Amino acid sequence: MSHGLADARVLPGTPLRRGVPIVFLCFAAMVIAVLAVPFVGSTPLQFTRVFSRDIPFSENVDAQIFFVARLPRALAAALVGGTLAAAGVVFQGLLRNPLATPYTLGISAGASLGAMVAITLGAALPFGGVASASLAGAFVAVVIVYALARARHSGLSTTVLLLAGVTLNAFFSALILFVQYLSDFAQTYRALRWLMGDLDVAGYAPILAALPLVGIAFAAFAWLARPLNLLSLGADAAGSRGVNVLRAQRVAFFSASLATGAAVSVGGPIGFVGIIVPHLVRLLVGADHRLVLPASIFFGASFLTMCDAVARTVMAPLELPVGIITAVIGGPFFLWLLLRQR
Amino acid sequence: MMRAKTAAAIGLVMLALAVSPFASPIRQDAQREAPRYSRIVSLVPAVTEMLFAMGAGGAVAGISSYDRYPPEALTRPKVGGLIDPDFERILSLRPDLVITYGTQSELIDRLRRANIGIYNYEHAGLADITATLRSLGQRIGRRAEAERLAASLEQHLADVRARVAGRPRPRTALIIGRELGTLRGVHASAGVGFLHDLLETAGGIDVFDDVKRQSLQVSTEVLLARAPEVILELHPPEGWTPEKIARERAVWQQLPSLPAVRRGRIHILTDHRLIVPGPRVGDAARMIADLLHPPSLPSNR
Amino acid sequence: MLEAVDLHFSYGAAHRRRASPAHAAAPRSVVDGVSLTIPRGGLVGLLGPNGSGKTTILRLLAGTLRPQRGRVRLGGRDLTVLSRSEIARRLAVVPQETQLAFEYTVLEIVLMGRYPHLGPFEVEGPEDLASALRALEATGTGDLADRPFHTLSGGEKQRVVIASALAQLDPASRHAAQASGPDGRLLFLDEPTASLDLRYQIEVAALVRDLHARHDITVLLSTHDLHFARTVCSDVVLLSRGRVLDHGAPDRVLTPASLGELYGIDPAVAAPLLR
Repeated sequence: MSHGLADARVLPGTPLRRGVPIVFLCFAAMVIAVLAVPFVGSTPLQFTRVFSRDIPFSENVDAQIFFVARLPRALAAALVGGTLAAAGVVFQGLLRNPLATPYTLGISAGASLGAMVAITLGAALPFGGVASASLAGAFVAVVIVYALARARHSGLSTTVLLLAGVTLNAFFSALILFVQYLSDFAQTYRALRWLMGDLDVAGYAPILAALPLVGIAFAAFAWLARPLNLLSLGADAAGSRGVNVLRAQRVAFFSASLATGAAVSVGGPIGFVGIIVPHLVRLLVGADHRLVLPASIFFGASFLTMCDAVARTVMAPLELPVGIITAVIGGPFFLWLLLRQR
Repeated sequence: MMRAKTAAAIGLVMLALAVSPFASPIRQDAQREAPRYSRIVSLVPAVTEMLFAMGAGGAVAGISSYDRYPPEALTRPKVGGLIDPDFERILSLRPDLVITYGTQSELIDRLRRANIGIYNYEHAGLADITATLRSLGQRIGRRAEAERLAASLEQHLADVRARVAGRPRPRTALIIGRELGTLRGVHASAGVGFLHDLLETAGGIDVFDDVKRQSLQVSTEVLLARAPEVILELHPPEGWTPEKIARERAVWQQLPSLPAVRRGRIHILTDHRLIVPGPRVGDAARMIADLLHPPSLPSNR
Repeated sequence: MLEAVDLHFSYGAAHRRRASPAHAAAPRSVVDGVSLTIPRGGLVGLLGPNGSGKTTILRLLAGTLRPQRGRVRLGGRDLTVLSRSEIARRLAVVPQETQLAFEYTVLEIVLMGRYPHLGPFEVEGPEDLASALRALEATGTGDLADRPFHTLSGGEKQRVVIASALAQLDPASRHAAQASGPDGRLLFLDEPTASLDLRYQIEVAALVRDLHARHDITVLLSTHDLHFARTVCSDVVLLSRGRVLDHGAPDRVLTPASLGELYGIDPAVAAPLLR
């Protein structure tokens, strides 16, 4: 039954190598998007004015729009988009389910609750604002979900993780409604707007604050790539090939939760990125996580950067929440996915 | 026999007299002086101020949870506000007139079924404040006082307009909310509403005038593009110390190209008169006018 | 080569012990004092009804589960002192069914078997690719290399998973220290023919025999298939309710009486099955 396996025609190299060019393409797309998108918007900019050294910065409106308003926004979109996409990939690998999202296990519900509390109590909190509060909320959610998933087993059951996450989502959503009920009109409005997602960071500080967290998460993802491949075969099958399954699951859970928490603290809970991008990327490069993870980061970054550009331009000076753009693209995308599989 | 009939007749007449105030349907445009009310519950802070200003404070039996002026009003029981009116509490005060927001349809329904008089308040522009004063005065039988108040307010506003007439009108951003400590979630008045009208009266141009909305979430880019010359930030008075005001003013240094930032014309206003569309808006107009057109400057620059 | 001594295991026992120490001794054991030896070069079958503990014993012997009592030794060394990679290079498990969460190709799955031979950030090299190709050839799945796994038939899937196990056991490695010594390699199969059509049952059975005979692989498999046990296995272990009923050569061990006791049937009914 063997047909000339030594024949180079059949297998020019390992499957990994064949996917690398596409990863580079995604990287190029990201760089182009981040550099080009700040020139696009409701106010036309003159390229020469933006980079002109003759006009002092504090008087150069074009330069201010580019460097203070649009460029941080593009960078934030790239950061959040890439992080959510990668976190989506890791959660899908951990839960062995391509329909998992970064929000399946309740982390964004915790982050949202933290943000709600900060917006409602407002002045009462001494420490840094809505972003830190949402990070704290995400942390609480992570701890609860992990504790629940560990309570009955010596391992980490993905079924129990999923149940714990779904339960936490429901519980925290109820708490969010409760907090909103207590808040006044203006706070409710601000809270709703936060929930729709907002990438207008107005400066580099939120990005720099999130960068170390995302860096740690991405380092963990690099290590996780191959174990996630093996986990797709099943926990036992992975274990019998030498994977420390419990350690891989723990690292996956905590690093992906850290990434999600950081992304949500920067831009709010933006939906659909964490599930559209992994799917599209798998269609392009296959299922090997060593390709899917970096490609998802780059693709997700480009995707969200462009969605945000659309969101801030299409109805200017009104701004559409970027979550609406991702949803408008995501909904039909899912229909197409479903129909395609029939 | 005769005595019993007389007694019954007198009883009936007394009953009719006793019931008659409750039997009157809502007639906001009565031709003659409407019956006076002695137990008014007001869910609208602006209207509470109006009632006290026209001397009907004694008839106010209950106020909203958001009322802050006048001090005498604060002694009355609180019954909730726009989103959370407490129907049971309102009933317990045995009101004969309840001032509601026009959008509180459920509450209005229940009050109608309980046969309690209703005055619907519609929140709109500056001109509607005097219109409300007059119609309210007519409703509660204080037409003369209401007319005096309305006329005085109109005069006050006309004075402000006259003072700033002919002066160059600064492009102003009227910020009604933002996430403190940052420039995220900035909401501005955008061409519609009494705040916008106040700004126009005080001799300023709303920099978002063309959008024609009560409020607009403004991104950094839009702020930079519109380049306001003056920034007025309105906040409720609670918790604002001079240090906090200085801190929040400094936040605007993130956008140094804004003319308002370069010339230091950033004002954080926490005066209650600015956020209540009531009888004191004349003061509010004057305050804004003084900020936009400082009196020390000559009138034609 | 693989030796198990007095294994005891019950699921949830650790949890119960925390809850009520008094009842710790009482839980129903899935594996209740099992000792067995798998000799080098053997083809051992575990036979027993559902619930007898076959799968659990496989998992205990492979090191996936830790017994509450007892020891498992691989090549004379206790499993608990060996690293996961060391065990994986010498012992591979083929589960009854493989469900993939994502669409990997056949070659990708076979290459996954090389995991214990690579460092955490190492990429598969030419030796690994060669090892995978050899494994594909040995299982007759060479021309399926680029096919997505989920498009294969049941029999083809099972052969691919076996190929992956072979790649895993293949000693060729760029790390001289890692190349496993002359101690031989173990292949565990959990009911390898249970979910297959007859044609594929025959195919897989033939493959297992071939691997055992020509590639010096010691095999341990659990099965319901009496015919397979009689004709293919060198040793048979009868398991009933977590205990070893008997073990030895199939001709001696598989009798109407022992089958009757094992499955709770009348020996007279069992007799024709052994003809």
